[in-house]
Amino acid sequence: MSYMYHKVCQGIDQDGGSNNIMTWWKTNFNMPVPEIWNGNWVEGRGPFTYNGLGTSFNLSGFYPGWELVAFFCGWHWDGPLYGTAYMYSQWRDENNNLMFTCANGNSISLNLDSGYWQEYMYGCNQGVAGWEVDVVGNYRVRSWSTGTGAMGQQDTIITFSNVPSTSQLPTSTKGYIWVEGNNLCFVNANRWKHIMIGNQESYVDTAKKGYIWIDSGTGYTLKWIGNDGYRYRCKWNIKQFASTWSNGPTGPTFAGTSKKGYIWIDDEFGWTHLGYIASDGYKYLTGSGNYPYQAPY
Amino acid sequence: MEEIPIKIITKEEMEKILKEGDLGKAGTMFGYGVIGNKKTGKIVEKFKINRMTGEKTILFRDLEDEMFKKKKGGAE
Repeated sequence: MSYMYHKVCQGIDQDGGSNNIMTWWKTNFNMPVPEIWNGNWVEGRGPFTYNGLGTSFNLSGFYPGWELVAFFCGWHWDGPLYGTAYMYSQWRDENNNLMFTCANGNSISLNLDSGYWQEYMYGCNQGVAGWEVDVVGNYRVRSWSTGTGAMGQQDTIITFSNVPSTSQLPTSTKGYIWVEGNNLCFVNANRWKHIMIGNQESYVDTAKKGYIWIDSGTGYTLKWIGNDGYRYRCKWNIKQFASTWSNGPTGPTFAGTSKKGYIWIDDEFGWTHLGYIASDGYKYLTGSGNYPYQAPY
Repeated sequence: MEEIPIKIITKEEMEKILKEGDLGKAGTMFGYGVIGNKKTGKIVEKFKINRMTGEKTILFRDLEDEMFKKKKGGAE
């Protein structure tokens, strides 16, 4: 018997492994993904426990440039089966047009005697953007396979409601960064205004409102002074690490301590976060979305 | 504690910095799979496949399982 399964979720926990967690819901585009695959693999489920598993998602409170959900497709074959299978999976838009190709004819060898089974899983995420989810509607995920143990097309309807506008600001605004109220704002590489709401710390001086710097203490966080004169700290930052999910640096990235204080809007791997060099010389990421390495909130 | 003033830089400056450090290398996209033995209930092989090249990498193999014992012995 051959079958497929679709799991569309806000995030995952690695089941029984190193307790690595990855969340897409309300996080910045293309955050690096830790090792998540080496968990307890269960037939028809894969190696994860899923957070926010569903087929209908309310995007109230979302901004363009934030991720939504990930689609994990599993293909299952039972032996005896010998040959090569070719797998396909897709995200399709509200008009049933192809929006994003996940697996695209990827081949897999099957050499299964009776009493053995094989599964393969591939995942891909979607976010709020003009080229991804940009209007309210019934989207869908689709999968099939050809070759040995071929499986016919299977669709799952995924509904998104309260989708925010994805209109972009003029190109000239890209990279602007400023303090507005008590929040740190910037225009990211995709030309959307993002707002970072910080954790309030101690009072400094209203005369220093608008100051922005990187703390050299533990955590190397980005800080600023709000209009109220209080010091604010970014809610999260993460030292760059290699992603097991998509293209990006292959490990922690060291630019040198002479580059400390350099900050830029990323237009390389996600286009929505800030990158900066802290006093240890390493690259850190932060952004307006939620921290990606805990359960969705 | 030192407060490090930020220096806002351009894309070109950022790329130059990244090249000076060990930064900016492309990673790889993988899909993952397993083979299971219904009789023992165990996973006997874990693997990943490079989506771009199709190359398969074995991450784990239970060489004590009948599946691999048979192949090793040339029974097939």
